[in-house]
Amino acid sequence: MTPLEPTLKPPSAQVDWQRWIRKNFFDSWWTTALTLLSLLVVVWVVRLFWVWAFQQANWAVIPNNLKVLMSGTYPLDQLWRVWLTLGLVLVSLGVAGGAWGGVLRHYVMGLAGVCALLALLPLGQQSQLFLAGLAIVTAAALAVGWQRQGWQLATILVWVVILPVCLVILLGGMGLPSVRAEQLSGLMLTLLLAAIALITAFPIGVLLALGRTNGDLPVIKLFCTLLIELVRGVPLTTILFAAWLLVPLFLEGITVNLIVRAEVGFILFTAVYVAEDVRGGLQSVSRGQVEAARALGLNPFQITALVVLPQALRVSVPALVNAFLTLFKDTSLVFIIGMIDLLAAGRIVYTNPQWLGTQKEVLFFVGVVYFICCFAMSYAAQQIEKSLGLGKR
Amino acid sequence: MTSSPSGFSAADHTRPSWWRDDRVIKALLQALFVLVVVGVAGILFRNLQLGLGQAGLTLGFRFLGNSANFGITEGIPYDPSESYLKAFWVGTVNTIWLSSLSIFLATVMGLLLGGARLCSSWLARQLALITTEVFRNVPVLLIIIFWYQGVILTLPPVRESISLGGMIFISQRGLKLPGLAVNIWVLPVILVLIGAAWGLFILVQQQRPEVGLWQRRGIVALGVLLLAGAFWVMFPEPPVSLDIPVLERFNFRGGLALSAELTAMVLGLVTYTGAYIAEVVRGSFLAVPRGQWEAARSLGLSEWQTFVQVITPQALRIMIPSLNTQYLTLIKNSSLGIAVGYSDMFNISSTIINQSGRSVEMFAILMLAYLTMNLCVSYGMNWLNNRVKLVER
Repeated sequence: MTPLEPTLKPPSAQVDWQRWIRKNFFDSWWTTALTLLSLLVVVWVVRLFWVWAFQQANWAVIPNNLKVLMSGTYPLDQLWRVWLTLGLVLVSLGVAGGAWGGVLRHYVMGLAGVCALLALLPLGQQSQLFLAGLAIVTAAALAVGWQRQGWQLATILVWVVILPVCLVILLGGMGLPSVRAEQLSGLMLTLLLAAIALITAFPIGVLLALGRTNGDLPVIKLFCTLLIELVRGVPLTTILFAAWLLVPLFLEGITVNLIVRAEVGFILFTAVYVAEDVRGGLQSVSRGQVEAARALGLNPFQITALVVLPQALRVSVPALVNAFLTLFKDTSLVFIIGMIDLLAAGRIVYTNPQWLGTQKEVLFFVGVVYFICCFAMSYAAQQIEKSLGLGKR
Repeated sequence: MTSSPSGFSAADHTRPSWWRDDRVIKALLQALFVLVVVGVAGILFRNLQLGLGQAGLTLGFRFLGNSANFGITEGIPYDPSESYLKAFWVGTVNTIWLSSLSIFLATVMGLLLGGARLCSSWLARQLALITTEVFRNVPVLLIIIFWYQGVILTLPPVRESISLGGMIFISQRGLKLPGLAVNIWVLPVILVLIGAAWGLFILVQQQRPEVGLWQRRGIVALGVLLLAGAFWVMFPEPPVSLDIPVLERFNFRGGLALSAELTAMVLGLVTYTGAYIAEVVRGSFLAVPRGQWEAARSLGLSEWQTFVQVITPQALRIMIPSLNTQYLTLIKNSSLGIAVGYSDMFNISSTIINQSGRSVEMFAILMLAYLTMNLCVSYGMNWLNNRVKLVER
């Protein structure tokens, strides 16, 4: 064989900035018109925003009500419990970030950085101390978990323990003075509701998806299909309201915590969407995998747990992150049953006679908080999708 | 299915014992499942009846005939002395009206934004990207409340309405649009015109087959225009007139009114869903293989012809299932009317529940109503999908 001549690479398109500008702004009369129109919109919006943000807006409302927005009506003298919970969560996140690496590690580093930055802001001596402590603890946890890949599974499973512990710390019991569930509010409630619903809805959703795709058990399949389609057809508002009113009715004589009632609604709603996402993943696993596993002598349970599910879940991770994003946004609907999440806390702030007329500022702030959280999640979903190499094969 | 290998011993080829038979195990498992479900449901139902009994209520739908005794601010004519059923119907009509208006406008906005994401101007692309990301990463409830309390309620009062060309008036109470007052005679006239157009088309085709399609269409359009003009002149009163709202002492008279609540709901749902639809549109156009562009170009089609006649039909085909999902989400999100006081189906149902205590029955009705609406939309979109999908062998 004669050695091939080294192939030349195609000439790279030299893009000088003049050419780039002409191509992307004024390529044709149509492009020019669009560019000018967009420019007009940009100038108009920026001017409008500038005038509002720097001349009309009363930003004092945010720092003065930061406590209400973040932890709502949680008793002031018990606030250290919120900080403790936050520390616990950040430590677990730190270890997980260290062990998993990737986007998660960057995010945890970012969180530690944000805590450190906030500690420098004049938020009151106590808060600053706590924030500095959080930053240090998170960094330490990150260092502990660094490169320990053997801990990866444990860092996920540990949440099953951490969330109940958080609830105990926040709500009281085991020697701590109790706090009413209604007082758990603000951003804290939003995060708590989303986290609990995610952790609980995920296994239920996987079970529902398995039930729905299992043709061998027609009765269970029918049940799962019916449940999924029924819940998917009804708005979350209705489900939450129903959970709030009907759970006490169905569990006659047992008083049910408000948070539990809300969670019943969220878990049910999230589980069916998770089920549909996982089902998509299950369908992408080829039959050959099942047949090969059976030929190896695995029993049906092993086939599902060791062969099918790992492949299916891997494919559905981006969809699952998006489901969690939706769940996070949907926690704002708890206002229906009188709970005070971040958005509802914002509404309380601007209906306070002292801060009348500040609805734009408060809603803007709340929106920014939601945006940062959601954008971080959807960015993570994109990164995971890329690292899995989905859609490239 | 396979049976366990231990059933086949070398000595005798008898069937495995019945308790090791796969089919028996599956049947038993499902029977157990049904038993558990029925058992739990039975306990819950008993609790429900006990609880309702203590409150002096029994299940049943007779109460729907009782007088509602509460006012509804908008919708079809209704009097508080009418029945609960009528009140619910008012809410249903409001939900349908809100949803269909929002679906239409959200589709328009989605097409525009999605188109802008793909256009040749860099600035327009970035602008569209920022807009979609902002609206997608914030809860829909926040958007609705922002439009309502941040924008609409801060507008001038009715007496100082902002006037757009003396036709559209914007104020705290919402939008006032010019209505279209259509004379009753217009409908038969339109039918006559359609008939005439069809007849003319056939006539030209038979008498002058050498005339091309576009010229034939031109001839028909001209003829129909002349005919319509003749009708217009001969009519004793103008067949179609604009009903422009006129500001009187306290409020506007005439025209089409969109209340502040409805306007906020429409704006919120349209901006939120529109951003999602923009992503769907963008994804669908990108999903059309590049080869289609190149093939069309090599056939000598112009850019515009390629876009309209080759790319768009294929993109629409990809778009429809995802659009269906977005429409269903929008209908479900329309139940957020309760946050701004719009009298939609869910809002009115919650009032009925508060008044009558009939939560179980109302939830059943509400679920049925939402499921019916979703099914109708899904049916329509499936019909559309079947119309446009590729017919393969």
